[in-house]
Amino acid sequence: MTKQTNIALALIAAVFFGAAFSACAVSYTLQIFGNANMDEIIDDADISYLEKVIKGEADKTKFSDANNDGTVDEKDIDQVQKIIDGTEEILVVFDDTARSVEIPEPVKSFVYHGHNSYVYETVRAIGASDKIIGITDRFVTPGGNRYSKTYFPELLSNVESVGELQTVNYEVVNNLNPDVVLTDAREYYDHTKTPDTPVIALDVNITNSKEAAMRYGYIFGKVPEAKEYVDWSTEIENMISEKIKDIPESERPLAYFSNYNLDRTKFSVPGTDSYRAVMIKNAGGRYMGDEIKGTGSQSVDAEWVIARNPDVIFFSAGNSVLGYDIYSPKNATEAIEEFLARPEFSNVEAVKNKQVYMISHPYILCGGASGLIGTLYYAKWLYPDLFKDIDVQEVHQEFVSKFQHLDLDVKKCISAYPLPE
Amino acid sequence: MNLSEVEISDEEILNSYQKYVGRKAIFIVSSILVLVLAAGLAGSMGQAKITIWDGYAAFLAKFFPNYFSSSWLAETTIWNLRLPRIALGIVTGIGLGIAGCIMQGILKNPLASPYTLGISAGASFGASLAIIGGAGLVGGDYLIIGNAFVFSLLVSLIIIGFAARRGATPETMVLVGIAILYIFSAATTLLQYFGEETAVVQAVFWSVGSLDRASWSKVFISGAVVALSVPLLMMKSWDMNLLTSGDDSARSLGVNVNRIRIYTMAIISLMVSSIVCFTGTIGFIGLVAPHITRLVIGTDYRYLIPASGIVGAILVVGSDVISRNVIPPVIIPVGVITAFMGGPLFLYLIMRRRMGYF
Repeated sequence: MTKQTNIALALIAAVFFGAAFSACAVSYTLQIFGNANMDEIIDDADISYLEKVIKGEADKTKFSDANNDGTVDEKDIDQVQKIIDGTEEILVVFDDTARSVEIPEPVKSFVYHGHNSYVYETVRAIGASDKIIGITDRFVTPGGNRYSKTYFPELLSNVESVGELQTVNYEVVNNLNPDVVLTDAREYYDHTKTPDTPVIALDVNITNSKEAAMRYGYIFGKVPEAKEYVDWSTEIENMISEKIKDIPESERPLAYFSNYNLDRTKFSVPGTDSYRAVMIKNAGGRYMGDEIKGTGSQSVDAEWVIARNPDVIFFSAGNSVLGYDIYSPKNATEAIEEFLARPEFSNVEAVKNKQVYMISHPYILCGGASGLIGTLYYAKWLYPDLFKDIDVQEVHQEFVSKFQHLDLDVKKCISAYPLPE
Repeated sequence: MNLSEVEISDEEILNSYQKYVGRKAIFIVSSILVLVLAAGLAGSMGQAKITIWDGYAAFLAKFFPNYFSSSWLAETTIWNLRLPRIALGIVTGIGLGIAGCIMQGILKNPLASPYTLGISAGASFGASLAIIGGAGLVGGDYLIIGNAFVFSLLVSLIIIGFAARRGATPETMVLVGIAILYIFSAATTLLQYFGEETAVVQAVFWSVGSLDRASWSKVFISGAVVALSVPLLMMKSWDMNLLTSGDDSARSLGVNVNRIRIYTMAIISLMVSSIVCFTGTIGFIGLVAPHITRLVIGTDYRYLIPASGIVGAILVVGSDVISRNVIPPVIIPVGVITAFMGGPLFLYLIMRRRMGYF
């Protein structure tokens, strides 16, 4: 059997289990006005629910008032029908700042006030990236945190810089006059400076990526595409959880995660609620940073690591070490070899068994959209036997080719090192 | 020598005094003109695709709607983006310039400024506490602003408290101020050490002074406090002049030295707090603007106080023009530019002018 067949069979199995799982519970509530029954989609069931609300047979919900006019009536049923048909003139979206944002539809252009890349990855995954006309400087200026000739080539032509993340040049945004501004760094965007443009604060992270993808699907009129992408993600997610479900907690490898560069003596460990912790736990690892509360990171020293004796060590590295623009493993190899040779760690299980890996940090395999692929890398590193039928690079390639629409060979780039066997 | 040969007539004294006053008045009037020019330049330059005439038409259309018309882009750019920045820049410059001028005078220390006495460190700590810890004395949208205001005021109250208890000598106030600066800086560092990465970045960014958060409501609040504070400080300009001859001389001429220090410090604190809570730490203005002014017009506080304010405003507005236009569309925080611009300018003036002017 070829690797492709293996993965196909694994995914079919995952779909089966996934369907069983999804039948049990609704995993999220689509945060769009019109989703009256608070499920994952706007459909005829919402119209039925609204009819009951109007007759007094059901309770009004947070998103019953589809047109956001303050009352639930026949007009809301019309609005829901228009959303289902894709003919709505406005869409009311509930955003991360708990604001109800009215967006004129259809959205033909947008500016991305972007901190990380996950929102743009999601928008690209659902086929709406051609509508971008402006983005923060870090994506388009060489040396920027998110600059990548390989991963974001389309941003380097015809997409205007709107200034730095923290000091947006609102004059440029007003020049561009987009239909909507998307932001994942709401603390730095003052929507009163672009008063006639709706601003949606809607980040994509490891826990909300599916709901966010669906919300973006409705915003850009790409609901089928968003659904396809969400289904694909769910299949992989279910496949991973199915494979690790029977491993008792005590037998799961203790995984340590930190940032690392050459000659580091202090390590920054993300807290128990950080996306890294979630990814490692989703991949079947016991997370060593669980004692650090919250989503922030804490600096620890070598003694802290040695005392806890992790089975596996994951390091994240920046653009100069790993990423889609890196074609040589030289820097990653050097960093790992330097760490393995450090005498103070020589008795640590992960070092003795050479279970030390490195994964890209700044914009891939770490957060929202491609975080799932990162989770698969972790799972494969943690359980090489259990995941031997899965070619993680095949799945990674599918994400890049099918959903990111890029002519990019992931096997040529060094985004995780050393690769799982 | 005949005594009558060295006698100076009343007319000559009057002429000499008028000349003395005239020079200062000319400096103040020309500074105002430079400030108007700087504001005009700031209003004309930017990334919005509007001509200079579009900009001025949008400005005038607000006052003379029957004679001028403007586009949506020009109106938003001028009234929503550029003018609040310029206005906040002017208020900030005036407030910090005057605060520095008086602090240097009452503390007899050329290094005294709102920054060196820890007022800005207090504001930074308050903002960091709100951003990183989510804790504050005021809630909602005003959490950061409220915290910055309260903590910068707290620093001043501590200094004033010490001064009231231990005697308001310049040494006491400066040393207490520096001690407070270190304590609050350490507390801010500690907060940042344990904070989430994104929150720490936000707190650090807040502490670098910026006019990006400018809005009309902030301009009105800061502007009102500055407008009330300046006359109250100006009223003490004679006493400040007497202080320049030493505490003992001032006392012998009837000035309550301790009271004057505490009075001016209290007003300055309120004024500076109402500015830095909106802008963050815009360093160097409070230090450099009074020195530049003093080098040109001397130490008569009746003129030095308003002139320092105007020079401060020119520096802030001028720095903002550079910050927005040097590498567009990137906007460099104005606090960085004020330090870059003010430092060399300051060194140049020291080189060109006489030693020991202070």
